[in-house]
Amino acid sequence: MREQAYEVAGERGPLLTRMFQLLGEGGIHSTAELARRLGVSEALMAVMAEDLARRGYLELLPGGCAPACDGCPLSSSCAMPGEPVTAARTFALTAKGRRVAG
Amino acid sequence: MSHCDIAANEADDVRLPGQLTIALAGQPNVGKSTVFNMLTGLNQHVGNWPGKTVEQKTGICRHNGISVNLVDLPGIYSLTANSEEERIARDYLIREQPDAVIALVSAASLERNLYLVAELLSLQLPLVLGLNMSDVAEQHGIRVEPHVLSAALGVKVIPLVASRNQGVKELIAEAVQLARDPSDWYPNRPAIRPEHGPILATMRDLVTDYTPDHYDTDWIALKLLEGDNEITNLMREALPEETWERVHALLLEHEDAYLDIAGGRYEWIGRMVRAAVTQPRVGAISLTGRLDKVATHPLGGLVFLLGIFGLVFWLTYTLATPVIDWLGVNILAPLGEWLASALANAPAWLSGLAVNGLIGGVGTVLSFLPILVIFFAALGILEDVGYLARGAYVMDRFMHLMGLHGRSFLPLFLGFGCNVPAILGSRIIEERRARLLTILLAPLVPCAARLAVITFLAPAFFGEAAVLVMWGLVGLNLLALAVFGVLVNRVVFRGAHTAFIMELPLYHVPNARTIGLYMWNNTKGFIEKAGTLILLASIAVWALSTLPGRGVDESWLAALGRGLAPVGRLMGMGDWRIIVALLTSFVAKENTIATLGILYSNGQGTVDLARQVAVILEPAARLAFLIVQMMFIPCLATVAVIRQETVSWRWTFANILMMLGLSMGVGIAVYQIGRLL
Repeated sequence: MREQAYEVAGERGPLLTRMFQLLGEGGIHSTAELARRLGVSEALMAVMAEDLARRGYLELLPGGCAPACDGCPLSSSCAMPGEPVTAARTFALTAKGRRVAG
Repeated sequence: MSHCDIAANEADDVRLPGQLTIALAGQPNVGKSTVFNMLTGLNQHVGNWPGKTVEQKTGICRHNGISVNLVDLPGIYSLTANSEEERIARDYLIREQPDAVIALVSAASLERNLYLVAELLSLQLPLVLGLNMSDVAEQHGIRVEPHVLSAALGVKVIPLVASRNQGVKELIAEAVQLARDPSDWYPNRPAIRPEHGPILATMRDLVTDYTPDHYDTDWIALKLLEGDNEITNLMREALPEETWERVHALLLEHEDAYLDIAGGRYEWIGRMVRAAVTQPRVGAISLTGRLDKVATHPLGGLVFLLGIFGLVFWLTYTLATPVIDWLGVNILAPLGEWLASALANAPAWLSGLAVNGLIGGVGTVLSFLPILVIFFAALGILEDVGYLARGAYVMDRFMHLMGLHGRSFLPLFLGFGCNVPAILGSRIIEERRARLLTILLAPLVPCAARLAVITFLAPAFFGEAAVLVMWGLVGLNLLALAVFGVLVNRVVFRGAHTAFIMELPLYHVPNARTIGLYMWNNTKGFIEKAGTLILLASIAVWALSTLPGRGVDESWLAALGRGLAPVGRLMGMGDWRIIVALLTSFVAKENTIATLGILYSNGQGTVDLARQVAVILEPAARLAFLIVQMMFIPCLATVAVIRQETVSWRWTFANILMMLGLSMGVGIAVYQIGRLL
């Protein structure tokens, strides 16, 4: 059972490289659109965005309401105060991400 | 037969001699504690992980006469040592090398859970997978085929519903069997790209002689390429300086390796999910997908958005106009008459102030409360249904096409409610120039007060075409914003791209309480404004229109209005009262109506006010008037926050001049062109 921690992959272009190429076009992309273009599920696209945000390639915008309203500069005038689940989460490409996106 | 019985509490050491040790790993909230409690019963030991404040739970479980030491690892999302919990779990698995690992995952969010499984598999420990919460997944229309998942992963997958104690015994049985004989365990692990294969091999060769005890060389090489801080520090200590220099150079040269490794994990997850998950397109997900084909289409979505806004305007004025007329005839007019007769013996100025200043001014503004209530109800429903996020998405795509810096859209979108929060909200933009420009563009977003004023006047001005005109007015403001955005983008940002990923919520049935709260929060501010700023401005307008006491046409206000009449005439607004009404919108946008109420209605409230104004303006001048109203200098509160946020009077005045020039320029152009048609 002992073998390498990783195997060497096959033929398709690297998933994250393709994702960053799409982001390199600029503009706003929905998770649904990116998921469709990359051939992954929307749930996986959301997991990828969260993970890349943890690693500094993306940044979760405060207006995206992801964790909570606390500390959000928009909270005092938010359309739905205290209802972060109804709002969309928005991730922005960081400088580190832009270097990859080219 | 598997059963757990009460034994001596001997779990102070995580690993006990002569026993099998099995670790229970999983993300938070996947039912790990439930499984652990069912397997160990009362035979648990709860303490802390050595030197940590994180709770450690171990317990004894007997299966077919075999004593199993079960270790409940902290709930973790990955093994990247991002948190204390992740460090504890990783260190335990590496140092203690349990005989097997049970990875518990939720069938309802398999993608999220499989990321951890991918990392666990790279540790080379025999692993079985407990597929929990199938019942929850099925409620969401997600069906996971355990045997297909098992074939794809190359590991045993045991379906269970831990909350009902289904499948738990089978899970421990499989884990015990694997722990005793892992010889034919061949999992399918995530892969890295062929081009990184030689780099991984080089890294392995460099570190192989210096791998610390318990650690696996392959795993160390992988984590170094991934940029894992803890492993990087560990190896910097362990490697001779010359070797470290070579490792470091390799890492610098292949900074993109992380993307390949993480991407490999995601591709692996995608393959597993595609193989094992069937997600019938039912309910909210299917509805969202169908609606979003239209609502988020680059062109169709924009048309849809304009249609929705048109519908909101149509609904607002269709429902609100009769209510406003009713309020004018049945409340304001009788109230004015009653006040006039009640104050018949009072000084003339008091009667004039009460009837003309308060009823004509504040009363008229308050009477368009129905417009705001209906407008905010419509926006609240759109928000709660999940549509407004799509509106923002489509608008941003449009704005981006026009070259506007994308990050500005969130605060700008808030501007539809009120420009003040839009400017305060620009604080989310870190880059100073981008923030400044967003602040300066925000007044071009038509706020609810301006929308209410045009909704009040447009039906009388343009009859059946009112919705189209309102639609066009909003479009014109947004077009102006886009044109300024293009200039700003070209000149200041030189076309720099910014990209965003937006996760749109599922459409759902709106909640009455949420919408009620939204309406209340927004209309409350309007009522407060009517009782303060608009009241004071109405008193001032009334006083200026009364003093020095020779009638309205000889008043100071009339003198001011006549002074501005030459400019007004260029826009077809020869009547000084019109230009003065526009001027008072500087205090608050609603004041346009308050001033018109004072100067035209003569204490008769809103009865036919809009129609009285329509009569004295040519059609081209009516349009010019509404355009100027929509683009005029920002209100006092907005100017105050522009000063506060830019910390510059220069930029504040620049913005006032920009809006003044734009509104006058477009107003004059529209009137002059309109006259020729």
